[in-house]
Amino acid sequence: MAPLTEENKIATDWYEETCQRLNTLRQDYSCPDPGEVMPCEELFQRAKEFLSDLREVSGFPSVPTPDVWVSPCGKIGLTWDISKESDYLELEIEFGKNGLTSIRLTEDERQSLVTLRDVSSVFRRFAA
Amino acid sequence: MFHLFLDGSQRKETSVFKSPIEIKLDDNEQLVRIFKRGERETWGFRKLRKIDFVRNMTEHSGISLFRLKYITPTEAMARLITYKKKGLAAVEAKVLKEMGFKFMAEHDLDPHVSMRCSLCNLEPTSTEHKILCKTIEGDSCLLENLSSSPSELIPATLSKRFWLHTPIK
Repeated sequence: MAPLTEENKIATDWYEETCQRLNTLRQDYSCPDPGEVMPCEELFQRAKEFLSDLREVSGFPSVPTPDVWVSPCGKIGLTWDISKESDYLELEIEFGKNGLTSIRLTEDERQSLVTLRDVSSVFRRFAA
Repeated sequence: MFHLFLDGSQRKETSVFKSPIEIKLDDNEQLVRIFKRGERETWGFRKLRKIDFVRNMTEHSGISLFRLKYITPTEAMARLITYKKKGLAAVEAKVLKEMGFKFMAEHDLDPHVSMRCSLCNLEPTSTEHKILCKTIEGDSCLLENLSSSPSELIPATLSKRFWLHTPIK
């Protein structure tokens, strides 16, 4: 029986599933269209490391698996969004060529930047 | 020159311009935007993102939309050459007009429009592609690539105003 590779391993939680999505994007976006920029390999790793730290600092909350995306200019983004009754909450973390570029919280239609000091408490709001 | 419409009727082209002009769209005209996903990016096949509504600074200074009045969804998607999978997002022109957007095209019957933000001075794009039109006040284009400026809000708003016309399968 062949050993399981990182890509083949079945995700057991949102963090592993997110890492798998990042791996998938790293491969799918290895051939960018004209005008697009591919994120560097290191950036995918930085995103995983940040997420690992955030998960630990936040007390390992059980949150949904985020949307994971790559922008045409080579940024990596993670987006959590939840709708509870009439409220809408969205957390977006972006990584650019120099690492973490922004953490943005949207509540209904109000958007604000989140500091590293506050990100763990904001993150816990998305726990089930 | 005559244009053939999807219903089989013909109309004589009344105006042809070499450089883009601002055109007016009917409120109920349906517009589509092509969005792309990676081959295995399955979690994104049936959702729209703000990055689907930022300009990529290649052919022109706005974002490309196609008019279903003059082109089929399949023909519209065929216009974009990409390694990735393609889907379509749709909206009524009225929604975009109310947000202050403007539309530039080669002529009134052009199936392709370049949507410009409300601040745009509507100058034709330089053929060098690197020089984009400047806003009237010198501010950043609201359809600019993602940054930490307030211009972030416009693509995010657009992603919520468009609806999923053709999801990726």
